[in-house]
Amino acid sequence: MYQYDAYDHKILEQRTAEFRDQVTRRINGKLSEEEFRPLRLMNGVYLQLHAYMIRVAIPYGTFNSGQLRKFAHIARKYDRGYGHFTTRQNIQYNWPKLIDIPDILDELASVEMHAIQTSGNCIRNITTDQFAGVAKDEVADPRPYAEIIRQWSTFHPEFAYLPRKFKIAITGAKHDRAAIKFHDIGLEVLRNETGELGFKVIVGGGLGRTPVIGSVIKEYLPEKHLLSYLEAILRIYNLSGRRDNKYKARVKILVKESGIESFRVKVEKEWRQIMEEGHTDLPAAAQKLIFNHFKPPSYEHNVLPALDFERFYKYQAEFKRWIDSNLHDHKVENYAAVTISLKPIGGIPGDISSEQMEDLADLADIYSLGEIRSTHEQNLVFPYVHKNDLPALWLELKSIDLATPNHGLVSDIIACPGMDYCSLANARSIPIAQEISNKFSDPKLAAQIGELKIKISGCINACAHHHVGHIGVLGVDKKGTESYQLLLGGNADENAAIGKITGPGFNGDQIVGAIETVIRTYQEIKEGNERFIDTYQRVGMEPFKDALYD
Amino acid sequence: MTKAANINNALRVIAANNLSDGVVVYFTGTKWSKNLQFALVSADEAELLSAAQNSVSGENIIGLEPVTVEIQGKTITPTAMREKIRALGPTINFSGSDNRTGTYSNVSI
Amino acid sequence: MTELKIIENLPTEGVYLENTLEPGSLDSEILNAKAIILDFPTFMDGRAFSQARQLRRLGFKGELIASGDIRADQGRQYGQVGISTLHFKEGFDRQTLQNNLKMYSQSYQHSFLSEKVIYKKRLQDNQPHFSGGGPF
Repeated sequence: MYQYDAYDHKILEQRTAEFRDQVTRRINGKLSEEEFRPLRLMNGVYLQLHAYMIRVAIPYGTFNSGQLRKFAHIARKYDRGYGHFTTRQNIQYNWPKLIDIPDILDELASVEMHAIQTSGNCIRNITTDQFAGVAKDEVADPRPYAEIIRQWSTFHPEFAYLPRKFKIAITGAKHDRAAIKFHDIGLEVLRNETGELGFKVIVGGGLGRTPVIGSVIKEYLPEKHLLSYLEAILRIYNLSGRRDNKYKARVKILVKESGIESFRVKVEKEWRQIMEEGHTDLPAAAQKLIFNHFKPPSYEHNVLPALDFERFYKYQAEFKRWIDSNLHDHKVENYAAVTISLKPIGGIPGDISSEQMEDLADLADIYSLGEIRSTHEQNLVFPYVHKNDLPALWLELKSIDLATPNHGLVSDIIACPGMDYCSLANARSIPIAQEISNKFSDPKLAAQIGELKIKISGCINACAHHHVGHIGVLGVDKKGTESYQLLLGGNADENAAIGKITGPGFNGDQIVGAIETVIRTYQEIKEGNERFIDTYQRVGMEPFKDALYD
Repeated sequence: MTKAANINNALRVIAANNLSDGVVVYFTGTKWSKNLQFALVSADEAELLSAAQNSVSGENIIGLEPVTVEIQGKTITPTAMREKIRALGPTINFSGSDNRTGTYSNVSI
Repeated sequence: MTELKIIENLPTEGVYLENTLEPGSLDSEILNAKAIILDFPTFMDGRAFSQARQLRRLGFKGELIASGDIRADQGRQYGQVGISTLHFKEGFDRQTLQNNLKMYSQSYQHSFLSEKVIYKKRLQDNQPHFSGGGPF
């Protein structure tokens, strides 16, 4: 995991001092609200429905136990004893006071964390595969590249006032767990025919009002030119992206309107000039300094059979369920990556209390080399668990209500904060998620239904990625009351697909029933081991539509 | 004043946020209260808004906006769900171990 | 350039550059100008940051003036992309501007201010550049 050096620390220290000064000037009236608003937004501070909200960046979703303890402390001291993990792998707090935020930032800086560029029209937190560095199916660890991009994009003077926000995701595996086709830029680490590392570069994907699957702009970009190519895309976007209409300002619209071919020509021309200048790409030696931080740990290569594990797996049905759904293949034998579900039955997706965070930090120290990941599906991951430790870890997680065996299943729902917190929302998301979760609380039923991704957004901004849910729900305002559109068939991975609306919307009392109907229909017509998404792709919308609207 | 207000004669209050802590407050006619029930209700949105704006000194109150309400008995209730939630707090209880009651009594009522 | 020049009136010989110009369509003639005026219609419109960067790359040596909605809180940012002069029509917070220019002495990116570029500093440092290492 990356550790700050004196330079990183200095930058952060200066930034927190700068923001403290800005808050002070706002409170004493030297800055007007109009002047201050963009300054606070550049630092992840929003004014929401009930209070301020601060979003803390977790670069590419990787953090350690000390940082998690700090999250817990901040939640207890400055907020209401809980935090909320977001779909950008960040954590946000719903109730901080503006006057406390400089202190919160000092606390965060003490553990190498911050809220820089978690909002505003700039390059946002880089996201990646939550199993980066340990996934069995990965070509290369994407985290060093994500760190290189993090540093390049931090306070990039040219790209602080883009036409709109800009999101980059990177994956090192063929199976895409980072939704790279739905980002402003998506990167896939791969090898060319001669075995050299590089990237496939995808541009202009996105969700929101206009969902678009990104286009490949470069099939193979040599590794050493990562930053110059990104800079070329950003510069063309900064100069040519639309600024006349907020809803047409993302790079996806520029790519769509100019066509990928013409956009590519402009980018490549700019790229060649940046390469000639020669001060954007990192020299190999500088790149190596960053890679040094991501060396794999010294795994204990124990090949003895994991007896405890085998016994528990055989005799403990609950443990077996948890293993079957929450475990992920690790590249090192006898190790596993474990998903810690933040979706307890009937709970609030992504929420976690201070006490749970502290207990989890202790468990991470014991069982996961002190490292934790956050996922874009609003869960956490322990990336380095030895198989023999799984029964003990499971028992401990159970005691703090964090062993829900539902990863990837019906109750592992992504939901945005919705109208319960968000000033942009048109409808509530969380209560819908809770109701679905309660309806499908029986783990046997959930296992029968199998892999199912339900995503619920409270408005068209699509923070919960409803377009790419196998089942998506979009809250809309219907003359002051909440109404919900239902979408089917979306997919965020390498088989990217945008869900289709089933038909007329449902009111708050009907939407969960409608989802039950969809799931029942799937169970009736599925063939063999088909997942919901497979069945949908085979039969299309009709059978579901018939069942919903007859 | 908006056309809709003329036709419906809809009742309004003015909601805003405290600058320093972000808490939701309502204009009472002279000052600002966390309690919606103390809010000044009027059908004349323009006059209400200008009175509220005039009472804001040093910009310690931000984000002023009119909210449509109904009066049932003696209780002021916003008509839109969004504003109900804004006045009463989230409709959900965090289910973690911090034992919050879910009444959100310190927020706005 | 280490300091930014502050002006209240635009020089008469300054050539005004639209910020809507197609990238790459700059007339090379403009490089002979003594001063080029870049437009920030609102401070949120960051096109001129990229234009400044491109003009310096093309070899423009003259005065590069940021004009329009200029904010003291962004002082350093203008300098970093090669802007040499800030045009403030009205009064502005001098202290904030000075603080902003003084505060940071290094950056992760190439900069036209006399700042240290972090990756280059790291390579110069003849010592390990981080305190820990290992798995995290």
